[in-house]
Amino acid sequence: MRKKKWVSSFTVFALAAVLIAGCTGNKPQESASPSASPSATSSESPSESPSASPAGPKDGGTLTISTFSDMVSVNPIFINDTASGDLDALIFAKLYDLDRNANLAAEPWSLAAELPQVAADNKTYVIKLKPNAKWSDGQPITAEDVKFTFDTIRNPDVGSPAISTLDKIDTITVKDPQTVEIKLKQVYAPFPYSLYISIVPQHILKDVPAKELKAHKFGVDPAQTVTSGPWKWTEWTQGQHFTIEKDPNYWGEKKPHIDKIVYKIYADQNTEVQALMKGDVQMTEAIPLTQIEAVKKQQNLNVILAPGPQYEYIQFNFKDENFPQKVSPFKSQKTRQAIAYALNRQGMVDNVLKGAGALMNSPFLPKSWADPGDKAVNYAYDPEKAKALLAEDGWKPGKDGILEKDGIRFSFELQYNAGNSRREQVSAIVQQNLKDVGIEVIPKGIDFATWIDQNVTPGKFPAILLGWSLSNPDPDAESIFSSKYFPPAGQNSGWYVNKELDELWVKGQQTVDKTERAKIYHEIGEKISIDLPYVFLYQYGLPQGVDASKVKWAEEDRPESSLAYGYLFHIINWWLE
Amino acid sequence: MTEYLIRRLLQSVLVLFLISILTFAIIHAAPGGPTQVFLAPGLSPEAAKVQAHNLGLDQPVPVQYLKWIGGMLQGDLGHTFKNNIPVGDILWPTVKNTIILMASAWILSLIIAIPWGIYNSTREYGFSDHTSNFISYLGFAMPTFWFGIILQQTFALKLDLLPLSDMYDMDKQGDVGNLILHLVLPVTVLSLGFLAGYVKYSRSSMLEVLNQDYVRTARAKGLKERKVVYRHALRNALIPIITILGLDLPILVGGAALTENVFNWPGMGRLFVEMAVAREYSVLMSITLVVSVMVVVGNLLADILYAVVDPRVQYGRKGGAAA
Amino acid sequence: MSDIEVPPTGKRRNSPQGTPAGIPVPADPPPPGPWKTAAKKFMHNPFAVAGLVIVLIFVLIALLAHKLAPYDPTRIDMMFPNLPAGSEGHLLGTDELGRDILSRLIYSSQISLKVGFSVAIVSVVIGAMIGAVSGYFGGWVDTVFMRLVDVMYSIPTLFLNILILAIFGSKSTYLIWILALTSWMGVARLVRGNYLQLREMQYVEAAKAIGVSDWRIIFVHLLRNSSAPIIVTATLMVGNAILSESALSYLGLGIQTPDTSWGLMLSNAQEFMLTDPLLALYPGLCILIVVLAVNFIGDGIRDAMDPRKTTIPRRRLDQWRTKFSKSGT
Repeated sequence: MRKKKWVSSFTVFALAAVLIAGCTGNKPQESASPSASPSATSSESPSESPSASPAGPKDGGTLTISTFSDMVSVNPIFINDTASGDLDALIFAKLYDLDRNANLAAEPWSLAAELPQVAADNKTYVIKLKPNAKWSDGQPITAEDVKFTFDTIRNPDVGSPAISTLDKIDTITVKDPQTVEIKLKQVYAPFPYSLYISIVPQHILKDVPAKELKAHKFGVDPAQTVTSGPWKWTEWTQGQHFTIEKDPNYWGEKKPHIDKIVYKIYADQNTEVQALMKGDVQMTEAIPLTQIEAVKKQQNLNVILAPGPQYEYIQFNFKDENFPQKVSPFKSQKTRQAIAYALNRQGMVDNVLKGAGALMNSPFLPKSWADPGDKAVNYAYDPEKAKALLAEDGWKPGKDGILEKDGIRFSFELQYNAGNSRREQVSAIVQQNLKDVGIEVIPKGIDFATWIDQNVTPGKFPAILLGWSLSNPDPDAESIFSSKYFPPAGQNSGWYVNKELDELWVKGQQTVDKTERAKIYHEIGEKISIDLPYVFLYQYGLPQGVDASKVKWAEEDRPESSLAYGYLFHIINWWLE
Repeated sequence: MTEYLIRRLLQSVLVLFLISILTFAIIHAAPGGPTQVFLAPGLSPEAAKVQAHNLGLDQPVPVQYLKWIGGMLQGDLGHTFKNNIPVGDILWPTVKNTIILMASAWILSLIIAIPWGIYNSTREYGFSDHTSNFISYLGFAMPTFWFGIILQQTFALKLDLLPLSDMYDMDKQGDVGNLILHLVLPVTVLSLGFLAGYVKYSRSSMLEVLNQDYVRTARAKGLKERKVVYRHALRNALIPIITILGLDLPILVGGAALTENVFNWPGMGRLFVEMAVAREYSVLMSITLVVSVMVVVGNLLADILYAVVDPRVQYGRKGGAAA
Repeated sequence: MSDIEVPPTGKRRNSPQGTPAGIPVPADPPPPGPWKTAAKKFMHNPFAVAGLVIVLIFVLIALLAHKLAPYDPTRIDMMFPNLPAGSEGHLLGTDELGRDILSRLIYSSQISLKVGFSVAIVSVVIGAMIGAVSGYFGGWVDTVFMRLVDVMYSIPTLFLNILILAIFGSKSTYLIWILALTSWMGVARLVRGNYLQLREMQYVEAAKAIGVSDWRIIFVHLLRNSSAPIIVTATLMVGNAILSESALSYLGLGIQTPDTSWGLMLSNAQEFMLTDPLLALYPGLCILIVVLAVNFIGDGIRDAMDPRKTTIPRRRLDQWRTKFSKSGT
């Protein structure tokens, strides 16, 4: 029951964290680069996916989607969890959207008319809006709304979780009702992805004091939430369901086919899957890996499973005071490498992820343009090599078979969030694998929120098993690995220091040319895979279940697992049979 | 009688006061103190300080308590910290849903249990008696959620006879027929619980009456057994039964957290677990207090009911061991 | 304090023994005889004996787990996950990580029984102490404790447990304390009831007169007069605690991995209801059997000690109430 939910709270955190991490990316002009194509990793079985029926799209019907956590607030300024993010994606038009290859795009349903024009200094962005866009109350959507949204998020009094994504902005100027100019303080290559953002109505919120925005009913009360997307929000019964309906006055040229979408909230993921099998819902965004086989057995159900924008890792702590013996055993590079060799990562992918994952050797998603590929060291499972490395490093077996060095027993606590069954399993495997080479691991499950508060954020732990969810496709991860970002303010929670890498991250942010940038990230990937502040484990996916007999889409509109919220990709073009 | 009522009322108020202090104390005993509990996780120290000030957490503890309890007394159960929704808006609908579920189970089990128990009292240690005994043991020893899951698997998924979970189908909100279908499985789970206890109870109170002198006299007079049972004994046996029902009223609001979770029933128990997951501790506190109020009031009503129904009760303080 | 004097046939919920004033515990210190008679009676009750045997078997299993279990319950074998029951070397098969299910069931009995017995013992000790002091001294001590009992009875226990575990985190020691601290009230009322009678008795006056200390009187009396009903209550509490543990573990608030209990196994098995329902069957059955056995023992003892059969259902009903409010439903 509850346990499955922590997974969701994990996602919540990860999204927030990555927003703070400020990963943003490649310049839109260069988006055509074929190497960027994550679609290579997409749908496992596209042939099974419901393709165009002979009759073609038809209008009408209600789509019921299950979720295991209720939404919190759909005010785009405060969105911090996936359920609210789903609703946001459906009822608000974004300034820009992402295409299948994770490039910034001005889609027919985006507010911007074209990709931003970037000045020669690479610091000035000019954005043109569509003239016909309007709010559900009939007011036009203008440059003032855009400016208001950005300024509000940037205002520290507001407390928006997205504040750090926009901290490189210097000024925002309204040139005319359809044109906004944004000037940056410095060249910042990840910036364009900050434009993948929902805009809020200035005419509704402008008179609300910054500190009271969070308490405002906009985003919480359907009646007071003016929307801009193809559907409008009509109902929310807390803890049970929320409903959206086609907006008859929607401004876009492309209209949605589906009349009504209902999100039904389930107490746990098992009930959710059972509801899918029983036909109570037509789509489930994340099926527990353990239940995939059962779902697949049912003819009409289709499971879309591919690695998505999230990966898991084991993080070492380099700060001595976090260990009972006041010495971090992880300080030697050889020891860290030995641990990497000792872990059967492929075994985890095969058995825990049921094959739906890809090994990671660097912080860049496999097959993305920043992926260093073979340049990063791949630590294949090799316990003997691990033992040899540990011996070289001076570790000797003690009385109980556990390694010792300078009187210190190699034993550490590996923390993870209790109730996440995937991490429970992986931590058990880690314990077993390391025991085989003479290292004692004590896995410890802690309640997620407490854990993040008391251990992860302040950097107080020996070692952790955690994951990052990359809601933003840019490879920049300075705030996770640079020594500029120590806890509690930063997210380098293991107190890792590598001056060379620190500089490379900054260089990556300031290089706009994508080929040059890719080279920098390949170098980072190589260096980090040798130095190992983390043992990168694997990229994993969230299996999406769909009732293929009811939900239909054309091949080009199929869900895209490689994107955050990719399970709703192009939902405006889907239809129901 | 009036004096008794007043004293009983004062007692209830005292108990509630103590409960509120206990709940409040738990929050203040939390590691990291109330700041940890009331504030959103992951705030920077400065932001936390500002928020703590805004919420009045930097004031002396007794002041905080008075503010909190004052709000509660005026029906202000507080707001969720995540999206600032009044707790009452979330809580009251779930109270209704829980009562629908519990009352159905309760009434159903009474309808079955009382006649069954009376029947068993006239045929002690017969087949029917043993059956109810067996059910009673089983019902007590079986983990409720386990039974629920088994029923779901069998009747909803394998046989596809009944709805799996929820209160209504999505497109049939408010439809009574649909509600009844959805009630079948959770009510079965809960009734097994109630049923077992009530059969035994009505059997024993009946037996107790049947062994009394005046019943024996009636028998000795040559009255037919049926008449003895139904005319003389039943009426007296019902008194304790009614009383016990009154005493069980609080169970109805106390809820069925596990059953609600298994069947995705949008009741208080599910809400509570959900809020625990979301770490909305202030909400949890409010719910705990609200439910306690209902329990105390339920107990009070039961006592009054008891006093009214059973004329033999005397009001006074001497020697009673029951409190 | 009570305001209602209840005549013999009146039913008062607040007396777990169902004996507010009406059904007395033996008024005089019983001679050694009754214990023997009771033991004899108990041994003639087939259900009680069966229950005793079953519980003893489970206790033995728990104590000898390291000898009996064919594998280390946390031992992962990625080569053989999800083996069906009857597979070679794995009598009941393996789970999703290749851990031996039989071994896990065996080790689970340790925690489930540990929780069950510890909660029973701790809450009996707390309850007996509070009840004895309260009943013996009376006055404001009594008032304070009895208000506390009222308070504890009025808070929905499951909610309280969830609240505390959510705030303080889940640990098996917390779990035991929390369950114990929310289930001592029955014993307290029962013992107090006894002492109220005791105070009136002549031999106490006599004992006091010859200078026997209050504490000694309390203690000796406790052993003599209240031990039988306390044992009965404690036995039933073991069952209750096991059920509560499984319920909280099911909600994710109880035992955490790498520890294992039947409740936790059930909770994990729920994911596999669609593919391997047997996984949920084993731990569920273990809980069912142990709790049944414990109840048979409890009822057996009570029947053996208490000739008045008609009090059965009232306890059963109290037990129900406890189950509803405690382990939740």
